[in-house]
Amino acid sequence: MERSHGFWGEAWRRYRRRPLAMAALAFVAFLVIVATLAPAIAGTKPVLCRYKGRIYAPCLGYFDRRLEPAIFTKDKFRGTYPKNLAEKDPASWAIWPLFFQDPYRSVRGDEWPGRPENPAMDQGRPSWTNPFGTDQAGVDVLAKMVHGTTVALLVGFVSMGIAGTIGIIVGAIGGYFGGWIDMLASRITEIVMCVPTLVLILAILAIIEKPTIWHTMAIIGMTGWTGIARLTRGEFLRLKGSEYVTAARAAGAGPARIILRHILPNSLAPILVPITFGIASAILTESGLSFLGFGPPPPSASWGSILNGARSNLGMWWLVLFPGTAIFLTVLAYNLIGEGLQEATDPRLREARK
Amino acid sequence: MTSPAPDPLVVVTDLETHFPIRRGLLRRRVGEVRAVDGVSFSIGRGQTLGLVGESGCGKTTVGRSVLRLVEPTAGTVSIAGQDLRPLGGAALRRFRRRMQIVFQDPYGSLNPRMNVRQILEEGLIIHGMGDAAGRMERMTAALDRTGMPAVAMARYPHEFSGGQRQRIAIARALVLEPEFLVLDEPISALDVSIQAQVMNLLVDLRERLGLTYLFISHDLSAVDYVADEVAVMYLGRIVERAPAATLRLEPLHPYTIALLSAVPSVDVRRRRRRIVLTGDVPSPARPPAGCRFHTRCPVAEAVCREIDPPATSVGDHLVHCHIAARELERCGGNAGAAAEIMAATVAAAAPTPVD
Amino acid sequence: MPLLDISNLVTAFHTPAGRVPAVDGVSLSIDRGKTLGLVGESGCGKSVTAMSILRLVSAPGVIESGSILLDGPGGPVDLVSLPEPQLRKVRGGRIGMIFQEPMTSLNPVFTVGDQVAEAVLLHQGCSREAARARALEMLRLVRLADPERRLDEYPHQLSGGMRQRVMIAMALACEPDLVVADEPTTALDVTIQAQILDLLADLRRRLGTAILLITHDLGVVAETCDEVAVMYAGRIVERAPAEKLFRRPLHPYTIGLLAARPDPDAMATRADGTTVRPRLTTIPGMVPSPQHFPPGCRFHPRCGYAHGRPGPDGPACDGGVPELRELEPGHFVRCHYAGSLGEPHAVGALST
Repeated sequence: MERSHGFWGEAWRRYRRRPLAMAALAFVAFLVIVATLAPAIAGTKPVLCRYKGRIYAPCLGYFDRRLEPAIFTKDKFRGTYPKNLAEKDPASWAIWPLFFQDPYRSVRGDEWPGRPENPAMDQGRPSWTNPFGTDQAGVDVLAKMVHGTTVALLVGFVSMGIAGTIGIIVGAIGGYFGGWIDMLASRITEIVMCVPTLVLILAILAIIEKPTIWHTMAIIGMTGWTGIARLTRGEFLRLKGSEYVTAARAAGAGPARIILRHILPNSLAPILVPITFGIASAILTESGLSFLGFGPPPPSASWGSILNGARSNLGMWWLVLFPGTAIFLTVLAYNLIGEGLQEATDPRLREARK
Repeated sequence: MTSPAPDPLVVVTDLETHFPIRRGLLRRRVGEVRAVDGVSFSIGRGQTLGLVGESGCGKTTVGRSVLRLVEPTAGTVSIAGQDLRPLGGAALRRFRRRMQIVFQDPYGSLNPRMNVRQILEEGLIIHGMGDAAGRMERMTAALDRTGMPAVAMARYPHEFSGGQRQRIAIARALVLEPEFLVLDEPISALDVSIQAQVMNLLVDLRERLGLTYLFISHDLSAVDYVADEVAVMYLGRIVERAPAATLRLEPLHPYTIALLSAVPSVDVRRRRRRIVLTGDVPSPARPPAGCRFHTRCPVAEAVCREIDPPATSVGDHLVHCHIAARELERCGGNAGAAAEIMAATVAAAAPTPVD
Repeated sequence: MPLLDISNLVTAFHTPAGRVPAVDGVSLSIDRGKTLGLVGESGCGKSVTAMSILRLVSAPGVIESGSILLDGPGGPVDLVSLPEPQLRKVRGGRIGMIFQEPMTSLNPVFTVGDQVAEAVLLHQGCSREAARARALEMLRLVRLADPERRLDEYPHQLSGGMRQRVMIAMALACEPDLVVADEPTTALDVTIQAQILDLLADLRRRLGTAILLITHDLGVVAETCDEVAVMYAGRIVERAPAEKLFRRPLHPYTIGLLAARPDPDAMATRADGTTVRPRLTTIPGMVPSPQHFPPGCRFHPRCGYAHGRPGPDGPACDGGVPELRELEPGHFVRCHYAGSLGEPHAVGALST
């Protein structure tokens, strides 16, 4: 007897049969790895180092400045580690990132033994030291992109996490309880639907004193849930009348149990698909904003803000090609994942298999 | 009105369930569908009432209204002496253990995301029946009663055939040890060779567990086999009610007569002249005045168009028909003779079928 | 020669899980003006057979072999190899089709009149007015109440029975030689089913159209068909004139199907008013899915008459595939032991 699979087990088996969708999933997994290991992949701060008898991990400073050990500020390193380490403590050692380039500043000459200064302005075409070139300020594009992966991923997950939560709750309440509650939920949905996301973001970023990437994500999330709410409502309306829900009611189940155990798990698959597509569009929105110059201020890097650098000088094609390709591939990957999910969870295809 | 069955477990009196029709932006109520419009019956403990009728006659709504899965508009339902009407929220949910339902579509009535164990266990958890070991024992017993192996518990509904799924649905109902079961077209979605298996199972279970059934079906021969008493519904009303054999052999209502004659039979000896009713069932949103069947009745008279026929009963045979009532009176209450006259009259009046 | 002659039709579906032979060597023939009933349970291949006739089997289904000869004025043509343009003339022209679900088979955005007229226009070069007149005539023919008004109504305005009448009108609009009706009354109520069956019988007599009626309901077949073919697991297991088949079925499957229906005559009422119900005879187990057809006679795992090893009068039932034998004139059975079945034994006793 072959093993019994639940719905998601079955869906995964069908998903696995689609090579393109699997490749897309692998690509996103690769991005997650790059984002988590970014400081160890590209940077000028040691991953681990021994300094004055103690072990430190200065690279954590890339995630948050406060994580950078205070001793290096006190000893006036000013972000330049190789020289200072050697000069101030001859007994020190360090494990360096794979690629010695900083995402936020230009690397000076001889900062790394034998390495020339990063070229700036329109001189920074791709080379061995700067494979994806450098921008006008001489900052390495590859390092910027590696660190920008975090933003690209966060934008998708956080904004769609917010949108998904709001959308599912609003849709579920409207669809399950019906009547005036549904009417209210639907009207709110329609009002939010009329809000132009991009304009709202620009307005809010202009008002806020110190706008961060989190504001952008929150706004995308809080305006992007309407489609999910409508879909959830539809699914709830459909499933509310299904016989197994009636059967659960006949068994004495209350609303919470019916919503959480019977309706929600069955409506999740169709909702997951637009969430995936939503991630892709959130990434595009963020890139667009950054391109227009409303991107996250340092110390955040974003692929879109690299593109922004090319606006004033179109001759710097590498500022368009590499981040553009990354955005394109990521958006494509999410769309392929969404499509794969759709095919893997489509009930019609499930039945056809029998 | 209702002839009391010996020790009735279920008593339904003047049940009405109307669904509002809403239109427009403000969802204003513009009318109502009278799905069930004054239905009364009682079912004795351990007995089966069969409810037959065509789609849209309200038989499914009766089943759901009795269990308060849809809220009745009027009328009373009492089960084992408990009036269901005042029960609300938690009390009603607690009472649900004693009355269960099996649905028509074994593909739609089992949650596809739950395995059989979760499906069976849910009710036990809700009603706090037994600890983990006790629940397992009950579930195994329920599966065994329906002829399913205990290993089925780890599997999901889509891994089973229609007949097996229906057994699981029956096990889900049985595991709560109910007294009363509503069987809503339990065999209609199954293949012919599987229908007989499930009918045998239902009859066995009733005998072994002393269950009381409301068996809803459009299949006259199945109802006739399973039920002790049969009620025929048309447009939200019961038009005739009698013990199964009486209804089969001596139908009095023209609709019952036509319905019986329309069932295609493989038996050459059984084949009677098919009485073909003209037209379609009117909409329950606008039921005709007078007798609701008069628009399709081959023997309708002026009185049928005006006066809603009251119940006429001979012993345990009850019929709502002016013509049948007249014939019964003429025959001095001899239902057999009256049935013969009715059959002949209806057949003579019906448009001649082609063969 | 018969109007339609199907021989050794094999239609298979090529799925990721492998080849699924839904129809596996079906031979049938229908004479002009006759009604052939094709009965079987879900998944037996009866609908795929019907769809194969007009080559309407959708991918991944493929007609792999066999021939479907349709006799005509210019001699018989093989529908399996007929080029698509000519085939389209046959579809709806010489062969009409009626489906189970009249709601989904009618286009919701066109009026009833337009759709019937469309069927006429497709095959007969005539003016719009003539087509509309013909449509009205067809709606009258199928005894649709108030046909002038219905002509300008949309499908959703009609009841299930009326929609099925419209479907029949469309199927008959071009005076086809054959109508393939796939479960035409399954979605309908008993009293409406009676109307439609009556109508079909009447039209057949008046127009001389042959009918292939596909259904799971033995009662429907018994009351309307001249000849019956019983399908099980992709094959025809028994074929005979209706009278003969229902009077004396020979294949254990047919015997089982007929016995599985409640018999009111066998029920009796005890003195205390309770009813004696003889247990229904059942066919144990379930219909096999086309992915897992059993070897040999496909019915043997569920058969109470099956022989585990070669007997004196025939081979083992799980071994060689039985031939469709003509046991009595016109009565074909696919069973090694038909005619001398003996006493049934418990199923499962055969476990060699």
